[in-house]
Amino acid sequence: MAVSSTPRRKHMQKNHPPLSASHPAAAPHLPGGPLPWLGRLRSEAIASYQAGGLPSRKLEDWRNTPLDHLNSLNLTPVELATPTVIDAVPVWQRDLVDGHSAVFVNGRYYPSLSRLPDLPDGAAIGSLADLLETRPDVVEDHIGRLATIQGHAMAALNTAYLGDGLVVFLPPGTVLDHPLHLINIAAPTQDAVAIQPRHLLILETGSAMTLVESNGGLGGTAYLSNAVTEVSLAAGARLQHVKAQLESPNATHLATTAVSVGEGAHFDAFTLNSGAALARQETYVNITGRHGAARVNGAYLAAAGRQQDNLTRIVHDTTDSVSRQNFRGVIDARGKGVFQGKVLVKRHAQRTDGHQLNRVLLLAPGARIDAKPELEIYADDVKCSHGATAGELDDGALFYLCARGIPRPIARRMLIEAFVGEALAEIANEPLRQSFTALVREWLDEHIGVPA
Amino acid sequence: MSLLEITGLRAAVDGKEILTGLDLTINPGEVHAIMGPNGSGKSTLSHILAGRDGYEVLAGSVRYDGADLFALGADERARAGIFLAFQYPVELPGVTGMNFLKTALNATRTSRGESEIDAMDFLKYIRARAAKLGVSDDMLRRFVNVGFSGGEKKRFEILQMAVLEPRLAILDETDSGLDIDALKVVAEGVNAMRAPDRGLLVITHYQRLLDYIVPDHVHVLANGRIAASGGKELALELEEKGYGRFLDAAA
Ligand SMILES: Nc1ncnc2c1ncn2[C@@H]1O[C@H](COP(=O)(O)OP(=O)(O)OP(=O)(O)O)[C@@H](O)[C@H]1O
Ligand SMILES: [Mg+2]
Repeated sequence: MAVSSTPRRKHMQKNHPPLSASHPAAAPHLPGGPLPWLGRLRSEAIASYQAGGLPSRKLEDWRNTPLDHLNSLNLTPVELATPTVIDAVPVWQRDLVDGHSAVFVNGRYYPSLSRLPDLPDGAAIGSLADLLETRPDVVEDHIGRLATIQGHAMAALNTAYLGDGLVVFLPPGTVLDHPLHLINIAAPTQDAVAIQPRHLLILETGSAMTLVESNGGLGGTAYLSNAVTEVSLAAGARLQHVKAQLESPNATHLATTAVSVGEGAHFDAFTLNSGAALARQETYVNITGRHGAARVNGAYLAAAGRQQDNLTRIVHDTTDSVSRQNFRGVIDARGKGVFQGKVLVKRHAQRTDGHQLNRVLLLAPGARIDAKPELEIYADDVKCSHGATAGELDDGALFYLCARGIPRPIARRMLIEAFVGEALAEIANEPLRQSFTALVREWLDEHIGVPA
Repeated sequence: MSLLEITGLRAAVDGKEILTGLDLTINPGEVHAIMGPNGSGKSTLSHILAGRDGYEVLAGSVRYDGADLFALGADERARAGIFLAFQYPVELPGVTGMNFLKTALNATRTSRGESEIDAMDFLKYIRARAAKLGVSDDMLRRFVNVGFSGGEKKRFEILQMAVLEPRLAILDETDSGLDIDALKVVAEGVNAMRAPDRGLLVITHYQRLLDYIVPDHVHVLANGRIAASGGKELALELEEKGYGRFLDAAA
């Protein structure tokens, strides 16, 4: 029986990857429904997604990342699920940063819990769904310009369900003094829902802001969060994007961030991945303007049975640009980490300065890391390097601490925290660094234990 | 009762016997010096006493304060008052000196049933000791031993000793890498620790240190055992004549 049922299942999967059959029913519930250009974009996207289905492990970029569980989850688009009402933001998210906030619950803007800043004329911060009502032309001009659908099934799926998310538009010279906190809360009901936020940040010449993003879930129900963020930085614009991914233990969190960095612009990202059963952060940065700079850093903590993925693609498409990547991973027994980092230097991108480092601490036998650092260089005058290390805690360091009277479990914990701390040091903003350090400590308390 | 009593100690690393029957007794209030050629087993002895893994004890016993030392783990030994100043102090990237000292001090305090030290008191406690050893606030804010010069590392070891106030301190070549002024500072720090209830074991290659830290007993460690013992004049003789005669005798 098993033999005869296998081909049929395969066949069904091919025709109906999760969330494709429900798309026609969900589409009328999506914001901006009647806009013809949007209808076209969504149909193109769902067709592209249906053609290949979920990314398979036969694809090089997905070799170590199984998504099979999404087939059996019976995912419901959040548009068709029972709406959820919440009356407060979870404390850890609320206290992460002192600033303004934009709250999204199950991918839908939640004005009653949000606190948006007063903005100068011409600037806008708000919900994509609202903007699709008031200024669809602005959305049309910018959406889908940076996140590629072709060959990116998850971005295609997100685009098919595109409807709400955070929109930031800063006109030239606008500088936000306080961080903006993007709070994504998954509040699944009894259904295993699929949440597909779509965020858009347009920073015009010389504008600057700090975006803090936190992702968390309520309850233990499984869900999929599949987010796409597009960031366009014009000349001299600066964005600091600090993200904490602390989804529920049964969640799947897939995120694609696509960035274009203009002349002298700075993109400075830090991602802490420690939640979800499976999480994957894909970061695509295209440096197109001279003296553009990208810092893409992160820490990933994989508890037993969990998987944390990072994929970065930094393209140097101009002269005199700079990129820095510093990632640190901590993998517990039966945990898994994946790092696929690539720096691509085009032929004309002379004097590129690009460095990448991924260091991983394996806490126990059976902890696993698949690391693939890559440099692809076509220019001849460049300074580039990459490095990857993986190893256990240093015996000599452990003994040194013990020889000072520190019990071994505390010594171990100190060294793990110190290891991650060297990635957290990349967060320049002091209060933010402290908040993120506290998040790492909470993870250590839960998974490594607080010795008596 | 002796503070430390080593009897017939034989120990191996990776199947190679390094200590071949070592006897040594240290009484409270005494300062002992061990000298000996490179590779004779001085650091091996200090590591075994401090409880480092990887050494196989083949025979013999070590009693500390009358009890079997090998029954205790490295951290328990430290809390019981054994301190090793490392020949090669270990870098701890990401761990600041302050955090390191505070965690170490509190580990000992709480194991004695005392409360953790209050943050302000701790600062005073550290600063008083650091100033005497020329350890700056900046050094304490940095990561332990990362980017420290050789001399800074050794001074930081002695600061740890001053903070933890051990009953038996083993100084493994604390003088190597020190300039003349630093040597004096460190020696003063060590001398300040001399007390009737405290024992000191000073491992060194140079007689000069013993001009500052004057030992009660000097031992020659050669081929994994104590080949000769004497007073401080033995150090002068070694300085002059080298280790030849002890190596020949043992061969
Ligand atoms: N892991 C090991 N495997 C094999 N031999 C080892 C190991 N560790 C130490 N040894 C050997 O043990 C011997 C004693 O080393 P030890 O470090 O105790 O010498 P030492 O007297 O402290 O020398 P020095 O004066 O140079 O510091 C040396 O021959 C050394 O090579
Ligand atoms: Mg030695």
